[in-house]
Amino acid sequence: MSAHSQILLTSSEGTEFIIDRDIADKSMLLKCMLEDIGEIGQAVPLPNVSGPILTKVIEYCTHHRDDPNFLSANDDVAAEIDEWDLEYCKVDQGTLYELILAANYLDIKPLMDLTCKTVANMIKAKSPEEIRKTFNITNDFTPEEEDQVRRENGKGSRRLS
Amino acid sequence: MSDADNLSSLNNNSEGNVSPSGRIVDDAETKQARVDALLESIASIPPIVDTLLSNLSYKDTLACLHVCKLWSSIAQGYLWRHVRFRDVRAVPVPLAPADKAIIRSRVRRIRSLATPLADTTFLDMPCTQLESLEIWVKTATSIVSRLAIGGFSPEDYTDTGTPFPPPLVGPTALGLIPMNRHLSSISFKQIEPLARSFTPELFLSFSQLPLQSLRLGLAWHAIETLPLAVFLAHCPVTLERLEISYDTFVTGFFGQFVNEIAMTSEQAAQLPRPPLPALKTLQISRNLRIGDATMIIFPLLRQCPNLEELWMPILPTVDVATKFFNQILRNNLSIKILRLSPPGFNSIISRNEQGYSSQDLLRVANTYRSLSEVELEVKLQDEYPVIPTLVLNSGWSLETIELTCYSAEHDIVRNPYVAAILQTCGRLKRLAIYVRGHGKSPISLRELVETNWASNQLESLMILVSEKEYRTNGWFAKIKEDNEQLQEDIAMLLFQLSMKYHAQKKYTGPIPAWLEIEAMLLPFEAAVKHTDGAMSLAAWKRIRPEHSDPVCSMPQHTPVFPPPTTTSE
Repeated sequence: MSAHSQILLTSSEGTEFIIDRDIADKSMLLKCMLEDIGEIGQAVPLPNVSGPILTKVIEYCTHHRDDPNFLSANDDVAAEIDEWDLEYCKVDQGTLYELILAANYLDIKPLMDLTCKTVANMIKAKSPEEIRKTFNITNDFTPEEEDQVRRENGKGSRRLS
Repeated sequence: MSDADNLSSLNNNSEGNVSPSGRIVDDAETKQARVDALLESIASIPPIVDTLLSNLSYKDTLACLHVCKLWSSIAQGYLWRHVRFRDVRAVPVPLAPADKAIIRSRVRRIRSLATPLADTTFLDMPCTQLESLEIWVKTATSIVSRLAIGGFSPEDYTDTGTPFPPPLVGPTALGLIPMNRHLSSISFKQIEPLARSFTPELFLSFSQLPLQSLRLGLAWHAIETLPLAVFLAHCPVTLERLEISYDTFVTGFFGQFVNEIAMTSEQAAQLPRPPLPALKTLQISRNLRIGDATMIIFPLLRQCPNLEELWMPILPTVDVATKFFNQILRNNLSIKILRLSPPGFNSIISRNEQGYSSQDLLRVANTYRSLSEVELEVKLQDEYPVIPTLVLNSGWSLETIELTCYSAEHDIVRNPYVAAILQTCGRLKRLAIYVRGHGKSPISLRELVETNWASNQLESLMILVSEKEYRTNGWFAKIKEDNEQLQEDIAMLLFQLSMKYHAQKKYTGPIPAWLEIEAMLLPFEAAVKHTDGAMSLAAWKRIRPEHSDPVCSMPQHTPVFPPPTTTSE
């Protein structure tokens, strides 16, 4: 047994994961929870996170295990995504969304920033029609409604009279 | 324990069509439905939406507005982060009720507000989440500004017959400041109608804000003063950019009387060291009186050891200039960008006043070999020798040169230094020369074409002479509109310059002659396109070799330049 203490997590399907405490601490949710209840050796249930997604999340936290800038890494909106992170996000849309939800639930800010940035990049420089296509969205505007949106926000610099 | 062991307990249940969430996926349709549902749940969680949209530009957010109803309602909340009222009214008037309603419903989302209205009570519910606040008060005329600095004479008023705006009562835009404790940027410009509300006490409360940028384009009310020492002691230490701009004189900001606001050496000694550790950019309004310079600005500069960019107004006398170069610049070696008296209508040195001399400018050149940007104002008649010396001394580091030249009435002058700059500054990226005054077009474009340029990184060259502007691929020239012959010459020379410019991007050596000849042989349409329409058929015909017709494409080794025309004199 290493000096690291270990944590037992259970995914939504009941799959058990044993991870090191410092990996678990990347998640603010787990960190606070463990600080509160102490290590009692009991499994921490994560009913909102499936096994494969939890695997992905652990992969991320493990890669950034010793990253000193972990919490501030993605603060810069304009900053480039690093190569490993870029590769990490090459998953299907469903998985990407689940990662976002898991990052939000587990409160892992850098992972949330990274995944949100990836989705934002899918929106960038696209027309509304292209966005609909990318995200499989049906245009539910009536022509009148669309006109109203355009009028109220026309070119963004609405002239107040 | 290895990383792999961390994952060792993962059950291997990923065989077959199992989605990451573990559910069995029957077909593409079900899978898509699941993805759609996930997207919807993402859109319903505010922190996620917040992170997502903070990564989008304004334009991208606008596109989201039109995607579907859900996205539209989300995106709308983010479109009102930055609100800037247009500067359309001469005098503030109340907003229409419908506009008020729109603003009221979104006021909590506003992060940055820019308003020409002194009265922001229209907001009803004030913004409390502001990070940036910009106030410029639109007044009926500029008279008010003259009033506020004490330069007021009754004639100013009666001449134009403009009524003086009534003093504002009740809450003003300034009242937003105490409600917003996260402001990182504040900008005031011409807020004289608010001068009564802008008390020294309000300024002193800025020290509690995380301010990075502060622009003070205002004057204290006549009876208020803010001693420099107090100003420095209360400036937020986070400040990176400070601009003290005022239409006429810098003391307008601190108070009326230099003696009252100047800092004694004892006061200076008591200041925290340094009071403005983060300050990188200091910009001071363009006009400076002797007292302002020596008693306010220079002591202020001594407190800014990390300054990188300095914008200074005209230095009023040779004495002051010498002091500035010797005592201030010499001790601020981190300054990379120096702008001395940027171009402006008010800044023409009068004939009676003595501007800084060639010798003073030479001192800059000799002291500041690390300068990468200079912007200088020179008088054409006597400053010629300065420019070549300047570029010879710091030519290797200069990347941007901006010169404003004044030529007095009827002076006909040539530009003897443009060639020197182009020949010497190997890292030059941007050269701009503005010629003001009444002299006739003193810039010889021909010289620009004929000079070998040392830099192959030139990105922009701008020459502004008099009224009419010509433009070609980043090249500008202004000439008098009424001189048709001159226009054509300029258009033609610009055309040649533009060809040279393109060539310069690719070649590092001298411009090969063949290229210029090839340029001559471009079809007329191409030539027009190259010069943004400035090329006329007459000019194009003149620059073509005598015996070539429009379809001829044989390079001819004839003189590249047409015989000089004499129309400009």
